[in-house]
Parts: sequence; C-alpha cells; structure tokens
Amino acid sequence: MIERVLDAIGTIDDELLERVSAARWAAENTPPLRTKKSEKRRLLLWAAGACACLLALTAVLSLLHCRDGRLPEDQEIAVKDSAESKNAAERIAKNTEGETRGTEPALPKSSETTFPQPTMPTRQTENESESHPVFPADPSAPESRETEVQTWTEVTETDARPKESSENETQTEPTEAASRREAVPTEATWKETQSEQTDVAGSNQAGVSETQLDSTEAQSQIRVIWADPDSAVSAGFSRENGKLISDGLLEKFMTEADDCLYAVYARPLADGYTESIRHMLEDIPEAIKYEIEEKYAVLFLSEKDFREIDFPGMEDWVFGLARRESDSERGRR
Amino acid sequence: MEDKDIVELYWQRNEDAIRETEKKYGRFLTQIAYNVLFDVEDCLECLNDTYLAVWNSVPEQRPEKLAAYLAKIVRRIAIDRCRRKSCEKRGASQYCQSIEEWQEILPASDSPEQELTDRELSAEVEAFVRGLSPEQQMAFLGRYYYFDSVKTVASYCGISEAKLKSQLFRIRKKLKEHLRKKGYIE
Repeated sequence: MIERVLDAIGTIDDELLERVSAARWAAENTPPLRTKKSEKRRLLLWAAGACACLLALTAVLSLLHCRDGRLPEDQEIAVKDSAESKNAAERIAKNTEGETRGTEPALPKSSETTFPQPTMPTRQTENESESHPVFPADPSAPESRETEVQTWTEVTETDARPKESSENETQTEPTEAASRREAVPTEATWKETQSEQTDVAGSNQAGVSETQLDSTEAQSQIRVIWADPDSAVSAGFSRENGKLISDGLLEKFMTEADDCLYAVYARPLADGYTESIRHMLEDIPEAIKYEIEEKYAVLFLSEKDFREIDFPGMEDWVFGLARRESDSERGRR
Repeated sequence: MEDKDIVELYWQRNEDAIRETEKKYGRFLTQIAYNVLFDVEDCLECLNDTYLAVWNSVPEQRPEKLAAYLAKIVRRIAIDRCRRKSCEKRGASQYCQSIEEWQEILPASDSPEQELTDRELSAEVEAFVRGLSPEQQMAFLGRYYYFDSVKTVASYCGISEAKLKSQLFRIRKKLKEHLRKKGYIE
C-alpha cells in the first residue's frame, strides 16, 4: 500500500509540480534560504557585535581623552570658571591700577632691588620676637613724629636693606603654608625706611579732626608685612597714602578683635565681588573672624590661626598681610 | 535553450535534444535519482534510462512542462530500480526513509480488498494534494515526490527542519484520514 501511495504521488499533475520544481531550481542556484529563526539569530549577533564595537570605541576615546590631559566636564567647567574669574580679577586690578597710578607712588621694579622677595611673616618660633619681623621705631609716638614707613619706591642696591637686618633681628624661614603664599607675590619688594610721619600724613599738621587723628594713630600700629604690589595698590592699600584698611575695619582690628594680630586681605576673584568672596570664605574655619567690604575681605587672624590657616585657593586670592603691633613691640623699637 | 526548442528537437529526432536536456536538466534529474537510489553509479544508469525513455515517448507526446515530465520519468525509473535492489542496500536512501515514515500511518501489507486501480488511487491522492495550502503542497511534494531531504525541503520552503517534520506528519495523518474515508484503507 505504501508503494502504491508513493506511485500515486508520482502521477500528480505537472501543474502542481511546477511550483515545487521552480523552488528547487532556485534553491540549487541561490544560497540557502534563511529561516526566520536563523535570521533573528543573525540580527541579534549583528546587534551584539555593533554594541561591543561601540563600547570598545567609547572606551578608547575616553582613554585618549584622559591621556590628552583633559578633565571631566564638571572639573573642566570649574577650572574654566576659575580661570575666567582670575582673568576678570586681573583685568579689574589693572584697570583700577591704571586709575590709581596717577596718584599713587610708582612701584619699584624687581630688577632694581636686591631685597629678598617679601614673604609671609615667620611662624613657629619659640620666641615671638624672633618669629616676626622687628618693626621700626614706634610710629605711634607723636612727639617723635617719626615712623617706619613701608614704601614701594625705587631703591638702589646700597639702600636696599631691610631694617630688620640692620638691627640683627631674625626672621625664621617660612612654613609650608607660607611657602605656598610666596608664589603669589612675584615682583613685590619692599623697603622700610625711616621717614617723617609728616611726610606721609601731612594732613595732621594741617589740623585734622580728632577722629582722623585717632585713625591715623591706630593705623600707625598696623604694619604691612607683605602685599602684592599690583593688587594692594589697586585696592588702595598702602602706607604711603595712609590707607591700610577702612576706618571701620581698622577699629575692629584694633579693638574688637583683641587676639587678632594679622589681617589678610582677600583678593576678589571675579565680578560680583561680595558673592565671590562669600563663596570662598565658606571654606574658612568658622572660628576665624572676617569682614567683607565692597571689593575685598579682611580676615582677622590670631597668632594660632595665622599659623594654621590653609584654606583652598588661599594662594590665589590673598594679596596682602598686615600685622598689628603690640605696645611692647612698639616700645621695644 | 527553451523547453519548446528541446521538445522540437525530440520531434525532429535530433540527438542534440538529449545533449540539450542533459545540459539543462542533468543536475536536476541526477538529484532526484540520487534521492531514491543513493548511489552514483545507479544514478548514471537511471539517467541514461530516463533520456532513452524521453527519446522514445516524446514523439507521441508534446509535454508543455518539460521539467515536470522529465522528473516524473526519472522518479519512476529510479523507484523501479530501487525496488529491484535488496532491502539491505536501499536502507540508507531517502526513498526508503520515506517508506519508513509512511509505515507509521499505513499498513505494510496489502489486502485483496485494498487492491484498487492505481489510476483511482492516484486521482484521490492528487485531489488531496490539491486541497493542501501552497506551502503544504511544496513541503509534501518536495519530500514525497522529489524525495529531497528534510534539510533541503526546509531550506527552499523557508522554514526550520523541525517545523517541516511537524508539518509533514500532520499531512500524512490527514492523507490517511482522507484515504480511510474513501475506503482505500481500513
């Protein structure tokens, strides 16, 4: 029966066989047809391969990106902002300097001086008198009308000797934090000369008010230890114009902040000074007192704070340092 | 050369007709013969018998579909040759495998009552095949007419081998039911 059925199949009309013959004919002359399953598998393999290639390419590009020294996007933006802020600050400082140079004394050029680079005051000494520069004779003595004035003047090599050296007073080497700050002032040199107070504050002789006199006297107790010439001048801080600090801050420095021996002048980094300074001050320990004025901030630091303070970006935005002298120091001088 | 031209050569009794047939359909016919005989030497003899049969039959007929006509002849000759061979020798061929597949459905022995004329049975089978879908027709005829392997049929049907086997099984059962209804088998 089986063979008869197969024989019967063999007698099927040619019309029915035609389509199968065509399919067989095509199959013999073309590559094997792909089933849906194999097609799916093939597509999956292609997709997996493409994903693998993409991942590998991404990894390589990331590697190359890192090797080029470029930072991740967030850091890049931060650096860019910092750089822009710095540039803006420099532009502002230069503009201000240009405006004030007409009234301010000319700054010395580093090539014309032989004094060492100004540094932050010495720290970590056993004897305080040895750890800090010895200041000139007490400028607060009105009868002498003499004071030690720190000026930014052009000096000759023979003149260029700090007072401290002549008095055999020592300065200790700067600490690590101070070393960092050394990088900030590059061309600042300074000289201390004895000059008549009347030369600086001639207004006293012209008859100033009591308040002004007190302010001048108090200011005479402030000793500028170091200042970035450009920034300090542009900000209006110098002994020559008798303006180290605003009256309000000076009063705080002298009275309220009894334990504060140092004042750090903070450089604004960008437009919107106050906000920039506030942002920077967020990193400063809470115990440290500070005041913010229009374009700068002043940090009042105790001896201990001054030795320990080391906040991020300090070397970038500190441009001046002053020290309040004690009565004994002035008397010793 | 077109089929009509080849047939015309046969009608002209031109021996080039055989060469042209072999040139155009030699591979096609060889595959059918090999599916049944599973032996190259038997295939060659089968093909020679086929060309001779066509040479002798065409002047009496004018086949419109030469491929199907040749396939039918080579299939019949191959099956006859295969049947003459011992059961042991034909065990590996696709034809014998297809017979094994039919044994699951149809009884191996024939009874006198089941002896019907081949013409009647052929008509029923053809009617059954015509009732199949085109895809089922291609699978059924590819496997049981041309005796192509399951893998080959699956390839030109565009389906998996497993699906083809399942499809063929259902068709065989359906044919069995059809023949039972017609009284060919109990």
